[in-house]
Amino acid sequence: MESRFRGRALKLGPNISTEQILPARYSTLTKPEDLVPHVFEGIDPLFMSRMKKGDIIVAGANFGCGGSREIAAIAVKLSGLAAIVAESFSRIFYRNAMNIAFPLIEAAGVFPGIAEGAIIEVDLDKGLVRDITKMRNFHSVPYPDFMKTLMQVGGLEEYVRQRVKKTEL
Amino acid sequence: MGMTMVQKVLAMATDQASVNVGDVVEPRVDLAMSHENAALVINQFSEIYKNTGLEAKVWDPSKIVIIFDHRVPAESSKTATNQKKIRDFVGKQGIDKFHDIRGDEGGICHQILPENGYVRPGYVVVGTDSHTTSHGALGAFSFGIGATEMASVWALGRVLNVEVPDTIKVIVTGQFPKNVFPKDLILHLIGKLTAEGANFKVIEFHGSTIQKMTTSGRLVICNMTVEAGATSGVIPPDKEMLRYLKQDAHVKDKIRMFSPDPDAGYERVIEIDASKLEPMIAFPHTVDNVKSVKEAAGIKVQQIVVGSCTNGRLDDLEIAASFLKGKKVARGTRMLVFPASSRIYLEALKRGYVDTFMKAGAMVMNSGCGPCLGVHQGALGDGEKALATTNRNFKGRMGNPNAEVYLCSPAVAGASAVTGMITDPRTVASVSISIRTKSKKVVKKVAKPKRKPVAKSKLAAKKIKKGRK
Repeated sequence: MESRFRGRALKLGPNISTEQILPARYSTLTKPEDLVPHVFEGIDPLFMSRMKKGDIIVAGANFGCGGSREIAAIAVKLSGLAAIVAESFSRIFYRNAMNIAFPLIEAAGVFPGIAEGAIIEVDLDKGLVRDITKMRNFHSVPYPDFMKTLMQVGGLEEYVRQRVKKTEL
Repeated sequence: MGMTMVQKVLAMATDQASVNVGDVVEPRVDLAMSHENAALVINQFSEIYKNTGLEAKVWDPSKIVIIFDHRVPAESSKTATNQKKIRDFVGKQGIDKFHDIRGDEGGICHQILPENGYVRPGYVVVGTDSHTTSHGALGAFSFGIGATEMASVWALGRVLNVEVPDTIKVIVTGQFPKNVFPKDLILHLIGKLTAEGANFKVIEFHGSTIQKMTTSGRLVICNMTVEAGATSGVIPPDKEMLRYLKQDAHVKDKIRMFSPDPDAGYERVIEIDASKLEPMIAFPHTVDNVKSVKEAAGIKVQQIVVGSCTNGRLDDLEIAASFLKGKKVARGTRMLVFPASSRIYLEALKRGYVDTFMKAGAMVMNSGCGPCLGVHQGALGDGEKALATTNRNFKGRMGNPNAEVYLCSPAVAGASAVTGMITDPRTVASVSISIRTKSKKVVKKVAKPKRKPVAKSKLAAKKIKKGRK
């Protein structure tokens, strides 16, 4: 995965719940083509029609609160969004996304500071979110070591696969 | 510095004398719970072993619990196929703690775990459900995880990368006023903390009100700590916990008792005087949007739901039914009741609560999550309002983003069912319906000697009280 990338900012509010990310009635779906049309349907039924591959969500505090459904994080990843930048994340959603190596970036000031449609750059190594349109920087909370490893190996599944193999040797 | 409850549990689960807040540990798991989302866990679990040449075998089948509750009976062929897949897996892996769709031992996961004695003080419990926080009511460190993380637990028997969390100490003293319940206490606390106020932290409950609270009430408050963002809620082991595990959950083996250290370090301490609380309502669409019931009084509701992993236990049903005895659910309002487990359902039948509900016009449904998550059994129409004893009121929660959900205690739900609008239970009469056959017999027996009428009635009252505990 690239550690530096650019995308267009799509803004969502604070307290976005997993119900809004992916309503429960779709949580038994497994095929990407079935899931993806419903991403963020709970907050904006037209979201997927205005979203382009590589866009970056910019949200307020407590993103991903509510149910533990990992399918919400999986659907966001499958949708083609590049990352989510938010003031803060709810714990389970944060871990779910990191476990599937989908980048979440916590940075103070991004929600009031970045406008809808702005071009932003995320630099995971430097811990920076840069608003290219306004030329303004936001410092992000650095990943803990384990999260860095997960992002490098491509998620928890691969990490555990390696550990299971090691234990068996 | 001493250790909090959760520090103690994590130290035990990692064979260390102590752990500090911020340490990253890999605790052993004592219990790993999943419901229908086990289907996704099974996928991720098989993926881990793909092309490794190793057999995909869970680390310890006796520590895994699988319960069908979210979509029971199946609402679609897709769910039924997933449930079939899980049944096959459970059989192959030898998982005995499996609760299928049954009228004798089924129910909601957060009731099945306590009532079967699966959770003990000091346990590390993980569940693929955010309300796994509930089981802190039995002295465990219990928290929600996602499907991939559960697959990792099934493989390794440990949770990876657990940062020892900070703890908020909440001390509750004073007696609840009439018609105020643990649900009102936790709604009040969430309103105070906000929906993210306890993010990545644990809430540890103390104080005389908690000590006097039944396990049923403790499950309510720990259940909803996640609505303030908390990793978990927890209560130090005490007499009531022992009583519940031995008497109600029929646990035979020795129970580990321990307490947080008196000099443990807390992130902050919050004190609450329960005697000053009122019935509370969480307004749409966030759980921290909490106001007094007085501010909601008069709002018309089309659906009332009593049940869920928060308030679907026997005492909750009793409270709601006490407002309906001899009355009718208002026309234009439908009332759905979901007992939290089959065991509770059976007991509610015996005690006449089901009779009261049905004669009043409420529908008593099978045990399960019901409409709480908006999949089936009671979706809302456009523009409709629901009043529910459940735990979430997010946009779309009961299956319709164009509807609204208000959260409340079983007393508010019961009182409001009669009027068809949100009603302060303190303004209407309720009938005591604790007319259990057992208590009746006690009264009769005591009445026989006919000596001192005053002492007789006192004794009878005492016995009834005892029987109710």
